[in-house]
Amino acid sequence: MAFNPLRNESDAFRVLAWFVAVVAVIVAIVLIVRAVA
Amino acid sequence: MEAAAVGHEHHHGPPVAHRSSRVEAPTLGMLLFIISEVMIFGAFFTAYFFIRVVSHNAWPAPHTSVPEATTGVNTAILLSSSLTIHWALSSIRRGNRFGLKAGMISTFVLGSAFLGIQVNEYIHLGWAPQDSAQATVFYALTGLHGCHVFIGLCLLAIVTIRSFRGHYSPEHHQGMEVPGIYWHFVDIMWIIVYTTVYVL
Repeated sequence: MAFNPLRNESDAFRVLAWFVAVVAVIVAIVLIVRAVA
Repeated sequence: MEAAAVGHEHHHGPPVAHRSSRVEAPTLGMLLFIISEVMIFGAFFTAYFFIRVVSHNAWPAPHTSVPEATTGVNTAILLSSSLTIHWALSSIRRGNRFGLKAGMISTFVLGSAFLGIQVNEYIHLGWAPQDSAQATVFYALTGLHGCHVFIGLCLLAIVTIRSFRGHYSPEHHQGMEVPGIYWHFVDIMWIIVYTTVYVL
């Protein structure tokens, strides 16, 4: 079955996991830049 | 007319009425729902953007603070609830009914805890929505999300009850997929709200 987070809960969970990881990295970068600047 | 009624794979001519010939109905329904939710949250985030970025208002408003650490713990609770509902669904796919029930109970308890802590936070913040534009958009964004959590808890309650009644099996558990997807969507929205309103 093709990857479809709108149809398959497992795929939606994978999207959530990736989203959390990406946001964590972005927020970490922003906070570090703010602390340094 | 008869050809359309026989079966999708056998008919030729116009597609079946009231159904897309390109996108599966459940996928299309969820896609349209997500799009409408993005629009409503987008409207609220636009207000936040205009208040904080365009108007250069202090965030949070002067002489106020947001409980970043407590809400960080609350965020972990909500993320855990996504783990437990994924556990529940993975369990029923393998025929593990104990995992299904335990997962659903855990998800409901964690989701309720999140909402309870959020309400408690509202009570102890010390400032009201009408105190400032920043306060209004804070309560609006977190409140809108809280409403979504409440709806999600209603769906989870139904799924949990049905789980205990033995309605689900490895072959038939489609009724759990949509609440599961919805709950992950609620989690994703909270990550965005928490990051923009509390952290950044």
